[in-house]
Amino acid sequence: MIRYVLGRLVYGLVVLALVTVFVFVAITFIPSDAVDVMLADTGATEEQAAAMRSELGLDRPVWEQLGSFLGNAVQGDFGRSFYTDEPVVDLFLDRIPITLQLGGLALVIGTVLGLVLGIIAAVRRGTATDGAVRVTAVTFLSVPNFVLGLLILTALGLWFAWSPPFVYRGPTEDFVSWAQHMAIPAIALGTASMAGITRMTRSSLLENLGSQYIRTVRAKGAGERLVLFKHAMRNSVIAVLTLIGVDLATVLGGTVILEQMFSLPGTGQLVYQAVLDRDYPVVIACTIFYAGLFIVTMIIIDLLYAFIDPRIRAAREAGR
Amino acid sequence: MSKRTLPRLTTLACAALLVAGCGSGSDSGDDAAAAGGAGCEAQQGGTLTVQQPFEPGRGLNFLVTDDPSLMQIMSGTVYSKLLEVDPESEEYALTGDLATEWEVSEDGLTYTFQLRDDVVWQDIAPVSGRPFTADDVVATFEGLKASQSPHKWMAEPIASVTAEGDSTVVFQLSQPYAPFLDYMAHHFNVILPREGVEGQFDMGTTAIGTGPYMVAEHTPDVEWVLERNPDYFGEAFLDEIRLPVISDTAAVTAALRSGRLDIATVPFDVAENTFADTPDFQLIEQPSNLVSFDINTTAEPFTDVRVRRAIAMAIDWEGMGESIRGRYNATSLLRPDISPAALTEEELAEVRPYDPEQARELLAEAGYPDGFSTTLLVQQLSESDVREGEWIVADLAEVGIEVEIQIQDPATAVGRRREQQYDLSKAARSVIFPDQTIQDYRTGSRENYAAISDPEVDRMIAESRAELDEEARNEMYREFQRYMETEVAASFLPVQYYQFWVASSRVANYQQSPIYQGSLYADMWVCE
Repeated sequence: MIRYVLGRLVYGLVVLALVTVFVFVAITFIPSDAVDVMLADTGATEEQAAAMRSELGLDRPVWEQLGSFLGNAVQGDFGRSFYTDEPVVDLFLDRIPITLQLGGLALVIGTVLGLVLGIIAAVRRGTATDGAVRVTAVTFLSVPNFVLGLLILTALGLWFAWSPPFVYRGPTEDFVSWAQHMAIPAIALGTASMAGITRMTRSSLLENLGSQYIRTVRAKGAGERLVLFKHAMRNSVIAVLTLIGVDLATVLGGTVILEQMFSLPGTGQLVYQAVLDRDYPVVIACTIFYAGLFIVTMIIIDLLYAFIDPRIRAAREAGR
Repeated sequence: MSKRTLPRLTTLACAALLVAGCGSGSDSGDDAAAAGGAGCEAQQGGTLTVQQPFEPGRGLNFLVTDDPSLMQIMSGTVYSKLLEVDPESEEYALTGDLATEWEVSEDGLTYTFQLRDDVVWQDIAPVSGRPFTADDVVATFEGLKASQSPHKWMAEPIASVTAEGDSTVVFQLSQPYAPFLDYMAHHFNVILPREGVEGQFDMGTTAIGTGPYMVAEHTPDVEWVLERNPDYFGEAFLDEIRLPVISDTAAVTAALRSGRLDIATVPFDVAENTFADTPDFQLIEQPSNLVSFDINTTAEPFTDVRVRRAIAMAIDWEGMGESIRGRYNATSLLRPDISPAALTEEELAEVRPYDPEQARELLAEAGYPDGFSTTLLVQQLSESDVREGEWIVADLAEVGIEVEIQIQDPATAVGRRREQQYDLSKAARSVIFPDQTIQDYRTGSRENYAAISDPEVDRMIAESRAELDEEARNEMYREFQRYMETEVAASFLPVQYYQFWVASSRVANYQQSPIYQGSLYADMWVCE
């Protein structure tokens, strides 16, 4: 088992290295840089621009910039923002809690609602309830999260002259304000996962409920509740878990637009602004952190498979 | 346009007439009432919440950065300037801020400013409320000249700055420099404390000024809070100005409706559809940025001036402004709201008529009777930019020029324009004063996107700077614009946009200015 985890971690590091090199090289193909943005409409001279470029190290060849970046990165130094001159790691660490709160809330909303709706649809298969749940799921799967956020925001403003606060206060500082601020973006982000999880739960539950072993369980006289939650559900959870892992990427991607829209100072907003400003150290570092987060989550989910399903655990232990 | 189209002057609430300095001949009363302006008497206290679209990117030091967001938050609010533009005068006459009187010598080389003697710095260490003196002005401009500030070119002609006692400061110029006073009122040129210029504290993180408001709180990317400076030399009503960082239009609209924001800027369509004709909001229009259309003079077939003129004439600029932006001014290079030298619509029609027929003739003369294919680089700040690009493409197709459109984000577009990596390009520029606008067309200038290299242009710019008589200088500016339209025909600022500000009805005496004029906050109050 440990060897298995180590193997996965090594693969993860290789992926991270490839992502870094790719992003670094891709950025150099984009015309104009941070200096162009900083000096726009100021009337500064070419010499001033050149001096600034050399100060930021932007005048060096790409491979040299990449080399020194990688050298520092392995020591935990991801450079400083071209704009604020703050270490990128600090910038990121300041903002990641907000993104994790938003992403976490969205995943919780999506998972809980998705499981509940999926189970209801499966149990009531073929009824009007089932139909309604399935239509709802397809609808939310099709509407992009920022459109949903926009609709909720506009509707509340128009009908109730209400809007969430746009000045972020942490949950410990002002819980009510925090909850109001987070609610709409979290719901907007969560509904897409909810739709996916509803569909996945329903179909995999139905598949299990129709299988031979459930017939056996029922034949032994087990109640419906036991059949559903102990036996059928446990086997359906694996598929759902995989989906949640994939959803994490969607949710993190969604935070970029929604944080911008709702003035949440998280990493999504940080990345968005950094791309527009050509603040490369920030863009690169955030990409690496996001990729790392995704890889780690995937490994954890992989381990959970083994925890939930003894067959997988046995296979892995036998195989290696 | 209906009543909601308020000229700048008439946005004053009736109560504004009570405030000292308000023009007596103003006929603003009725119109302001129609706009739903607050009608309470001036009162001390209260909080105003104003949208701050972006966080300043590179710190707070005016000698390091010219970030517009920084200007918006601090210029005129935290920091004062020597001069200020008078928001109530039609042509933005200059008025004193820290200076009370100023005098220009006959030869235009010596500028003497008398300063207020009742000004103290904000009570923040290490400046700690000491009196403001002429020496701070000396330190500011010596600091600017020694800095790498993007706008240090404004101070280039200053040979020396000297203090004569505490309240007189003398600028000695190396050559006559007519726009000098304008630049002293420009939002970049705030007066800084000597301690800051000398590095006794970090002006990148701490702001200590002499203005009506001081920084009370700041959470990056979240909010700025300014509080009234109790030691301010003038009068200020509001206790607190909160500036939450919000950029999304939908969020801004919702926040205005719910009352979480008092003042914000919105696009034209939102202003029209949501906030016009309602007693709960005031709508203020402010002439602002210009469309910047450039033709790369280093690329074929644009080396031929006839081709360039044909392109400019083939595009219906006024139609574009009217149908896409709703509100616009037809312009040549200078802003009609700032300078009386801006060409009028009639003058424009002479030098650059919308005339596809003549455009076709010019193209034929140049050897392109059937037109040609080219590309148009469009800098996208909003969706309207794309529609403007499409408008240009359609108009040029009429005269046989087939254009492929390339949409780019602002940073990419700026970079490609500077490197002349384009054929035709459309962007926006935020230039204000005449000299600031035309100096970009000098040979080799960084913002000379069309790569114009014309000794005549260089000569005219230099001469206008040396001409001290205002009327004569304005005539030079007019001549310059005509020359640029007909002989150069490569860089155009053909349309001026309007910016739309929405203020809730509790805000009184709200005005906008073409520069970031934070001192106007001092004249505003809120009605509870």
